[in-house]
Amino acid sequence: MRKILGLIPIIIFILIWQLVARAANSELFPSFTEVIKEAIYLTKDGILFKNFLASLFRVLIGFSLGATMGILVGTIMGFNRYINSTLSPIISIIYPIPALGWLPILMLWIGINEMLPITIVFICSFFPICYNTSYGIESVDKNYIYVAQSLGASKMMTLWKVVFPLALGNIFVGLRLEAGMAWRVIIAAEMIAIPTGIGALMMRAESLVRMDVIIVCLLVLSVMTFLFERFFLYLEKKTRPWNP
Amino acid sequence: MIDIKSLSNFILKDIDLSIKKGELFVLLGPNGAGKTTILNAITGFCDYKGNIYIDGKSIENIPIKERGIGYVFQDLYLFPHMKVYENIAFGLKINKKTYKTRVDKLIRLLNLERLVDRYPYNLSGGEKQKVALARALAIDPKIILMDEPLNKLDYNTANYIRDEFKKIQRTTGITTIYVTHDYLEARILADRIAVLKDGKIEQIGEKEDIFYYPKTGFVAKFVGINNIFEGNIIEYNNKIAKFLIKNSKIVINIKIDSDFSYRESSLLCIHPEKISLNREPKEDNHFLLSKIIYIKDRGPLLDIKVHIKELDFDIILAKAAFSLENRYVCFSSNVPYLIQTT
Repeated sequence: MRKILGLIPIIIFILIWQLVARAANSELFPSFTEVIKEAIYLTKDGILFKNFLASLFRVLIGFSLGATMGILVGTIMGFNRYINSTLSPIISIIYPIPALGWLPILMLWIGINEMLPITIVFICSFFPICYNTSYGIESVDKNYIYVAQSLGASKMMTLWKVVFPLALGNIFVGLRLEAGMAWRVIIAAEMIAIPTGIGALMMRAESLVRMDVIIVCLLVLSVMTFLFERFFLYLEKKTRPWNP
Repeated sequence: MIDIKSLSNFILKDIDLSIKKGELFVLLGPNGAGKTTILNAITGFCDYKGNIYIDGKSIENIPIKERGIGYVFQDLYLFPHMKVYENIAFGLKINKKTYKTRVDKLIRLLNLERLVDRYPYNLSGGEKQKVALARALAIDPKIILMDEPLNKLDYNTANYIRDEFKKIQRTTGITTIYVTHDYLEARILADRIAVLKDGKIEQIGEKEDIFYYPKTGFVAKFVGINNIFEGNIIEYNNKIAKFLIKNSKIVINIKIDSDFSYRESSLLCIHPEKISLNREPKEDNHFLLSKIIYIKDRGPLLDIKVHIKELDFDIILAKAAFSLENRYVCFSSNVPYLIQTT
């Protein structure tokens, strides 16, 4: 019932969009049905799928590397105060720089190739996930560590069996937020510097004043962001069944 | 078994304790007295000066994980991501290849069979308590430390778990230090008791000594002797001393066998359960009460506060022995107990 209630505003929004677009009768304001028709055409033609795959590949590789490294470094930082003290200042300096801020430097260093968007997504994912993981590990109640140690657990066993599972909540918050952010960043990077992908398709559509194509691309972005975030929510529920 | 010498830190002040093998030793005291800090020092969770020996060996250089101490924390800290079985087996998985037999034995001992596949969030307070105890016992510790483990349980569950624990402690003979602020709990469980106040030991001894012969006013008050009066002995004849309570005209007869320097100011303690209410004056000490201030119903017992001349007295009576017609507060001269304050 609650899900059906959530659909009502979407249906009303589409209806208003359709009516206003019909009334405006302008290329700059395509109707919902025109956008759907264009989406079907772009899918059949293979253009949408090709560009979508290019973006998806970059997000998956960049995000996987960023998340893995972020969790690894964040875990070590959270569990070892000496490493934390060593790495914290440099991470605090680099973390606030927006991922797209690196684009000009990386274009000169890496050049315009597949590595560029992957590196941007990596940077976008690594720092927040590292930060959230480190915070999550540090936030675990020290008494759980005392209990594990008094029961004979080594430091590694305490980290792996007790601290890391208890920090999963915070780690997943980082993963969820950054999974969506990776899509937003890749689209922006492709719009500025990369000739393929959903972002690049949007820029080409803009130059041809194809508002319907732009909206199709935005819908793809919206759906992918939603799906990625939902995937991590699902994964969290599966890996944290103890969390009622 | 456990010898603590001159233990000091930010809370503790020069603590000396010696706990025998197989003993159930209770640390009793109010919040902030340093009870938990002693447990943390033994386990290695806090810094301290002084020495702690287990079986004659200093534990200073023994890593926490090798000390063989089972610790049941006040808030239990069951691992929320592990089911009951995994929680109990946690210490064993690390140390032994075959742990199943031991875990199964503990599960049977504590009647946890139907709970093994549950996560801690799905357990009641009493069940969590039993799992925490099983987890601490699973590693076959030399010593078990329990930090106010029952204080969040309801009365009946706490009674049940306490009895179960005492049975297990007696069966296994495991040396136990049990922390509580509840003197009734200490009375039920302890072989010996140390009463702590502000990081210092006020008194240490057999539980009967603590409850019937407290050495300080604080201990007397803490173990439930509410009738404590300041004053001094004004006369001593035939082993009977007359004690005048300060700021009153009430004189209490006290039987004193040994020599007593009766000029000194003292505290007089009268156990509330050793006072009776009678229709006629009886015993060496009897006073007509002027009014009953309150009567609290405690099941088979009554807590009664009465007013006699200038003073209030607490009395604990069996319900069957109470009648409103009984107006005389009576107690034998053997009952009052003196604590010298100077």
